[in-house]
Amino acid sequence: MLDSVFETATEIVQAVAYEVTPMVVGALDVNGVVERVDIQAIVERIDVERVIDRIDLQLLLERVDLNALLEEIDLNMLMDRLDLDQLLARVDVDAIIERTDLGSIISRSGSAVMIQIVDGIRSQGIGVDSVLHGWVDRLLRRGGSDNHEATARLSPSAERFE
Amino acid sequence: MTPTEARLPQRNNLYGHPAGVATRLFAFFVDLFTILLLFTVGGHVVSFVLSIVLGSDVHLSDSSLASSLALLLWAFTYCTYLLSAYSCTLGMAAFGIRVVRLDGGMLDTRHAVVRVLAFPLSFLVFCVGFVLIVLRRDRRALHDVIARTAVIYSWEARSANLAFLAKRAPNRDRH
Repeated sequence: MLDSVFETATEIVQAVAYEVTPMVVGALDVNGVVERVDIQAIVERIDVERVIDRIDLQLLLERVDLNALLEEIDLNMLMDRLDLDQLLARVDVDAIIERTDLGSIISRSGSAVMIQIVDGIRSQGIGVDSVLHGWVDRLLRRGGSDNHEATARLSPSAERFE
Repeated sequence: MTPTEARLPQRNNLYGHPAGVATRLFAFFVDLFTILLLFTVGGHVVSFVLSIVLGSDVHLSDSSLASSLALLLWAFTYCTYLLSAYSCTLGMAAFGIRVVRLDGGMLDTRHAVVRVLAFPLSFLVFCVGFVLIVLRRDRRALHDVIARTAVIYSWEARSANLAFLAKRAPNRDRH
């Protein structure tokens, strides 16, 4: 008996709630309620570092398919939207050149070219030597020229000239 | 391999070997040009200074004997100083060769002076002193024999241009 009364009462309460709730919600000024909430105070109470500590970034990155992500990026469209002229206008080229030590780079490349030229000339000289002495050796019917005493015993002190 | 050899940088297979006649001839021409150029420039400078100091035109070239002696003295000084100080002249340095004593040591002043004084002798009798470079197996000219010196290659081949020579001389890897 009591159970049936209780069920009937529950149904009545639910029916009333279904009818009243939309009216109450409609009557509520939600924006006003939100405005009264101090969100800043709530945010300040959140321990962000602790939240971040609990996030496993490694696991997160492993689950991100970067290739798929990059494929979805339309770089051309991105570049079209970039105003490179404006960007370059903001770059201080003089300062970059000052930090680059361009003089040293030019000097090194110039030295490398000079070394190549000098080595080339020396190599040509050695080539002519080889041909000339080869002819003479064949004419005199002897083997290649011998090393003499000096060349066989170059002293370490002589290395100072290198 | 001795510890000294281990410290030495890698060189081409002709490093320390007797320099050939062509390289030495090229170096000689470079030195000849340098000596004459510096002498000419120096002569003009001296003439100019003397003209200012003496207040009259001075032409050193007017006296051929004095000019010749000055040129010989300048050539002797140029060669002797560079050989005793650096074991090579400008021409030799350009072509990567240098003069060493027979024991492989640096050229000292005495050897440099003897070599430079003996150098003209190689021009005598149809330059037979230079022909010795080709004829002798150790490629030493007459003035090298007299001064007990030798001329060797002393440069590292940074390019691959010498690869063909290295293949031709399998036994020339002693330094």
